Amino acid sequence: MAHQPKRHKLISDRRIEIIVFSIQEWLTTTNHKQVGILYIVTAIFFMAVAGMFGEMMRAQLAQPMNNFLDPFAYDQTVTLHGLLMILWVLTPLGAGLANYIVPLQIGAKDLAFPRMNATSYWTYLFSGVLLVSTVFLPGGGPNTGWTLYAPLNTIEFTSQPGMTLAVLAILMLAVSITMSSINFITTIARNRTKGVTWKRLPIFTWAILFTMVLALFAFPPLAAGLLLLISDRFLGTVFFSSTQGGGILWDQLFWFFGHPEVYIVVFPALGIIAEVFQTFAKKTLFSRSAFIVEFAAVTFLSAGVWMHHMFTTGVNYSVLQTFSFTTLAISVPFEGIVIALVLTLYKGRIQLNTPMLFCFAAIFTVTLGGVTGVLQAFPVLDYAFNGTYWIVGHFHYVMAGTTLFALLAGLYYWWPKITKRKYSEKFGVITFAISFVGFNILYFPYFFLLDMPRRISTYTVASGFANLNLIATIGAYIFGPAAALAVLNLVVSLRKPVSAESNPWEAREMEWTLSYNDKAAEIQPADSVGAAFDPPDPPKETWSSRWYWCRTGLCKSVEAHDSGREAPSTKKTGEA
Amino acid sequence: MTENYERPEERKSSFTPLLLAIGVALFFLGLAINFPLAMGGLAISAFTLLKIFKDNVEEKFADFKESLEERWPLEFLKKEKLGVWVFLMSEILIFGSLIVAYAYVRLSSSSWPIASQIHDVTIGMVNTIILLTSSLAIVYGFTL
Repeated sequence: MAHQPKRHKLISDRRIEIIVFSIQEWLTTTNHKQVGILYIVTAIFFMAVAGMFGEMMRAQLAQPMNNFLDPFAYDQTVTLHGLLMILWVLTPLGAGLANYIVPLQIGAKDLAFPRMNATSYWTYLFSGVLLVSTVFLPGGGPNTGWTLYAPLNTIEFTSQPGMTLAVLAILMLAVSITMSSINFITTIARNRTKGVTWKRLPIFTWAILFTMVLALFAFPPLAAGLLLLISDRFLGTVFFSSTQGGGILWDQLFWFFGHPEVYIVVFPALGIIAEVFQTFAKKTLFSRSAFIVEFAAVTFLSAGVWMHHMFTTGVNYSVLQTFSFTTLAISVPFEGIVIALVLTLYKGRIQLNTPMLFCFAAIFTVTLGGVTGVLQAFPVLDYAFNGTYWIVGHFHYVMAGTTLFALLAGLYYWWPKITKRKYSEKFGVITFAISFVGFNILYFPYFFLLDMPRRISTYTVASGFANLNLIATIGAYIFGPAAALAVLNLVVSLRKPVSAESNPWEAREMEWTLSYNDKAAEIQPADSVGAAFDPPDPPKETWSSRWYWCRTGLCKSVEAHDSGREAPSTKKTGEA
Repeated sequence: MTENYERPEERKSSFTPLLLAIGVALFFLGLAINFPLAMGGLAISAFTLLKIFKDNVEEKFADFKESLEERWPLEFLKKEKLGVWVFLMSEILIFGSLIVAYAYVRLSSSSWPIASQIHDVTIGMVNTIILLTSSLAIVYGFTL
């Protein structure tokens, strides 16, 4: 240490070095944690963009005969809001959380194919950039609605290059998601640490597994449809412009993807709700194995319900009957899932933290959105409601309500895990309350707009839609900023010092409790962790509760408790 | 001693994922807007794929050993093999959808030309034979 450079010089050089190094590191990373953070940040960025489109639509609809957006601009806004929110926000946000959490939950060192994971992230990012950039192209972006119905999607009706680019961007996203699903399925099947048997696999990981299985069979039909559409637009084939079944062919391919997509979006949300309820009610999930079987049943049945989106396309009577039945059938396991979630709270020691509140909101909205959805299983009601704001209300309650609230809950729940910092609980509760109220002011009026057609850019004074639309717009301008503040609350907490607490919720799932053995340089087998699987309160009341604990595979600890031996301590982390 | 799940991170960095995504994005942008850009994108993608192939041959990203694993019921499968199997399942669905689309178009059309009216059947047959025998050659390549 002969020469000591000047202090300020040292700092500035070092800082530049750190910045350059970290930019390079983030661009080239293949680590699942970093890729997960990139996914989450990007999804939130696209959420802001798509949310702006939504707010623009509400501004246009606030007044009858409004001129804020012309019809063509409005059509683009509708399309991009739908496409971005469903495919570029809700799906990847779940995938981002899964990227970070799933390897930790199963004790894997990384995903099975880390480089492919990074590739799916970058493909996702650039596909979204391509889609958003269509707005700036001459001729504008896609203006067909997110369903891209044929023959509106063919070159005769939408000749602008923006539409072509949008189709290619969706294909790119389909490739990205297929890569992710291959990666996750392989990881969960093959890279679990010792002791993480299928029976003990954490519930969020189960949810992600079923999500990825669904994505694996839902996205290829979409990709096939897009390939045919690309061949129509570039090579002059007539798959979708044909008057003999062209439009229905697109409907079939699109909705065979489109309905499972709903579950691709909702499953991670349900997994998060299950994790949060377990942690904050200090109870194991009610009927854990039945819960997983219900997930499997929904996954299986979702391949056979797509025609209920096409009841009004003139399909014949037996098809109506069949798909009405399958749609009702799929609601049975789905209700089972929701009921199991609610019963988890029964006799629990409930802590009302922000993630818990967001999950309550999600349960409320999934109930309302689900009930209004099941009504459409009956073709008679579907004929009446199809293409009205009732439908818009229904799927916003499921998509925007359940999924967004639950994903926010997941973000809040795992925030201390990801950043090692606590967010402001007070501010979190306030933003939750405002966003929940704003959400309902925004979407509940839609259930009364039974006569208002979807996707119209404006309406007359005589139609009588004005008051409800104004209320909805007011709700939109409460909900949007409140959701932004909820995210901002998390971002602001990054300024806080790192907290020493490694498990602030006293959670028992493996991403919090599984430990790393320094000497053996390997992850502790889950068998020796124990605490992760113990019931928080060894039950003592009745034979039925004992039967229940035994059913969930937790007999050993119950017996240990009964025989007076001390159950494995759950407070290891508090002492350290 | 055990710490709460904080293992030393093993960071392996690579520019190939970013480059591949940029290449594909440029290719698609070029297809929609101007063709030379698409060629550039294709060149970047091809270069990156070659780089990935080179990395794989040099085993740069060969996985560190996972000592503790629970693999039931797939103990007999290597993870690369499992990944390819899962990928093939999605391929089945893509081509299944395309074949179903073909069947649907054919069934809903009022008239359908005979194959020999638009295609040369001989060339089609030769192509099919080449395709089938090429996969036969691959199988022989593995078994011999």
